Amino acid sequence: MRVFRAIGRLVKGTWWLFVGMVTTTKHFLRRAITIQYPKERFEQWPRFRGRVAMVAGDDGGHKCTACAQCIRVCPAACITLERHKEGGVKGFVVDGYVIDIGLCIYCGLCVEVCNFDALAMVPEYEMSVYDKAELVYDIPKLLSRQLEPEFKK
Amino acid sequence: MATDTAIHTQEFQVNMGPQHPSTHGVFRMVLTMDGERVVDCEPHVGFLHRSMEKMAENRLYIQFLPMADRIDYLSSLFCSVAHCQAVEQLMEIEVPPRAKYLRTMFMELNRIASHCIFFGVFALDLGAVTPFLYGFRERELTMDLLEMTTGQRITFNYPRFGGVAADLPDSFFAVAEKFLKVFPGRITDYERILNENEIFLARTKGVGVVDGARAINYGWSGPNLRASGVNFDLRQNMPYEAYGELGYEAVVLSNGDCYDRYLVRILEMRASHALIKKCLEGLPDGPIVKEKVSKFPKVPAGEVYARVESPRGDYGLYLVSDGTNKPYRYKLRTPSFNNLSMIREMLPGVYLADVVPIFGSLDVILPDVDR
Amino acid sequence: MIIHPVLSWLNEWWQGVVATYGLPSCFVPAAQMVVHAILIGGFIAVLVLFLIWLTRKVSAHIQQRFGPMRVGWHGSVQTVADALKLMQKEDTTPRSCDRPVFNIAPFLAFAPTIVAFVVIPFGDGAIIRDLNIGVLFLFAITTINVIGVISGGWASGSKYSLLGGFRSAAQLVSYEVPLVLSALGVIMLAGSMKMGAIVDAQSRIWFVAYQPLAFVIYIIAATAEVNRTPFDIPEAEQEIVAGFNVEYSGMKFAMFFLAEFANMFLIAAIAATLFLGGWRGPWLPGEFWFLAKSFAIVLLLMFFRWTYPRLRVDQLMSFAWKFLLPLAFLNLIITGLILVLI
Ligand code: SF4
Ligand code: SF4
Repeated sequence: MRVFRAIGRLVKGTWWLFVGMVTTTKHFLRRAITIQYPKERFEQWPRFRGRVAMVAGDDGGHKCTACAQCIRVCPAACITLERHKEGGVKGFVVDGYVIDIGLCIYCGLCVEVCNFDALAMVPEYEMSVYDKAELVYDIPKLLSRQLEPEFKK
Repeated sequence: MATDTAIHTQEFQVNMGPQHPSTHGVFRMVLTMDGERVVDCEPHVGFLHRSMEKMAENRLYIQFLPMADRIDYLSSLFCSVAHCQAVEQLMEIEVPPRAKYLRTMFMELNRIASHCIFFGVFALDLGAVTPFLYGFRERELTMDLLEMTTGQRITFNYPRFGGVAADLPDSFFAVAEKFLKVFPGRITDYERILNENEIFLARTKGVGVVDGARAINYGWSGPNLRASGVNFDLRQNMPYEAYGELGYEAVVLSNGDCYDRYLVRILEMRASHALIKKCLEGLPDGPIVKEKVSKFPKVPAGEVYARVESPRGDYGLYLVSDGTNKPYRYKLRTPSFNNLSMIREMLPGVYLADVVPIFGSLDVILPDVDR
Repeated sequence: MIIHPVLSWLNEWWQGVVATYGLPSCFVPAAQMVVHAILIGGFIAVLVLFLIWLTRKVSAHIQQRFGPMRVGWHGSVQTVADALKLMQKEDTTPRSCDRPVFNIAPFLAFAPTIVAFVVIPFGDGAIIRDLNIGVLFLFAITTINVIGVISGGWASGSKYSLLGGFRSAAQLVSYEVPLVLSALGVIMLAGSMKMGAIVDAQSRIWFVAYQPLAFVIYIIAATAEVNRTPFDIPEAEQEIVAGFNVEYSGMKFAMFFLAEFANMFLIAAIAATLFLGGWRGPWLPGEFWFLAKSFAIVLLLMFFRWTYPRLRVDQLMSFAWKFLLPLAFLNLIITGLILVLI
């Protein structure tokens, strides 16, 4: 009896080892699914949250009204806004708006809370630079990339 | 040793980690070895401590939401859902049914992603490299679905107080359909490679056995607990979100060895797959977020314990609010920490080669241990 | 059929040179040896570069990746680039190591492999020395490289490498026995230990037909012999990082690496010679058949490696002694009985 059981186990073991080999061989014959990164790139899904950008208004400038909601919500505290009051103008005047992309955690909360559609997340993910200072994006840099139409909500 | 003729051996210490290739992150074990056998093990945790709890106490509720994703980055949705649940319970917000279903579905997707990694990494711990890449391949599929909806692949920041951040995009259904169709076949591939493989069986069966009573004593939870024969799964026993309506039966095995801990997860992947299917079929219409919930809520004073069944176990969050817009106390009960706590008892007596599979079979993730 | 004429032409030409200039006659074998050494060295270098590329490609495609793609056509010169990189690397020597042993270990591990190629019949007549104890010589010489591995593991002064070295020793000692026993069946059938004679004896039917069990035992033991998965416990990276070569870098590491891959081919070549009819095959030159058969076995080993998990050290031992060894003896007894009865 024991001999039979041992032989049975041997056969079963060999069979499953063989099945494993068949599985890997099957995969071996399939096409590779990876892509050759710098040459080929993934198409981003429309909602992909890359870096934060400012949305250009009709005049090409930013739409920020300096309400500071984004600053209030930003968990990484990476947004800096300079603003001042000016007589005759309602609200504030934006002097400077800077996002330190090096600190940003790409959470998208700033975009969500902005009531003036001044911010958006553009599908940009290659932001490496040699100098940390280049990661600090000011208004022109934030405006430099806009959403393609299909990415808009 | 009765006689002096026994061969005397000298014990020595091996420092495993924190840069060891297979300690799954920055975990350090000082192993006292007698030849190939482990005599004692001294675990050191805390290399990845980021003081998540204190960070939460210094931030607005909404500000900590994306941070909660980083507590356990392989199953980040669970952490942020628990955060939302806690706030919702204190504020007495009823989440709309569609949001509940969406949360449930994406949590299950995230669970599949996490278990895929477990599958790959566990096989890698045993020296099989190929399953590792297969696991990651399927994880990509789930992450595609998550990215389409939430906008990101790992740290989703998807739930909101009273709902979720975004509805499904139109293209979601086709992609999900495809995923649901191919995934069972992929699990079959996994099973073909490992499940019955003699070498795999020899390495995992009867290794690192933990019985149910001991598992409960150490506060184990999740798949590890269920592999030891304890029928406890929050999704089944204390349903939250849409689990109550969907109905879920926990996967329970009895041996409590590495093999069962592996098998539970494979079976759970199938169960999650079925749940996702059910979710998509029964997805109710309606709003995805409760109206008129402030983005910057002042949470009423009180305390609450929210818990979800994360892929690693019972993820609990004890939240004390003093009525301001920041938590007063934010205590995390992360499953990995409890699951890891037995390692010191499990290791003595096993071979060095078994240390890593035992550790791997617990599926702990170090940011979750150290938070 | 290709190599043999070239070699004999070279030989004759050199003999002519020696005769014309009246050089001492001992120059003839000396020059021959130099030529052979260069041939083997060159062959191994090219072979290993190719094997490494092949491993990467095969593993990549099993895992549905591309593997190296940048350097040359489908990354074909990637290994050359890597070899150049390894040469440039700093050759570190840990402070606590046993310096002379540490330095000599890689060469100890590599040299036997080169020597073993001496008795491999690459084709009809393309064998450098057809020793009459060919098989014995092969198994004897390939075992020596474990000394390199042990001394490397010991001298590194690291616990991981020490464990790796001793695991390797234990493993080699255990698997050498079934390995040789499985080859014994073939030797009994061929009635000779001469590699050429063994190949000749298979001119009608390959020995794998008579000795299927021995072939299986040989493949398993050989996999263990060259530390390939599922028997790669001496360098199990998940357990002991990289085992015996954890402290090595630069060219010394490359030596171990070279030895590993050359050994893999060697094992496959022996299998092809003993069981698969060596260089014998229809139409095409013998060298082609020999390489084709060897590479088929190499591919098999690679598929093993990328499919199976690794055994534990005690399971490895009990597998060798309790399973393979009795099986090998059984095979031997059956072979002997049949030979006597027929
Ligand atoms: S929330 Fe919008 S409008 Fe307000 S400061 Fe930020 S970017 Fe400007
Ligand atoms: S994406 Fe998040 S972290 Fe980045 S700037 Fe906006 S709120 Fe701050």
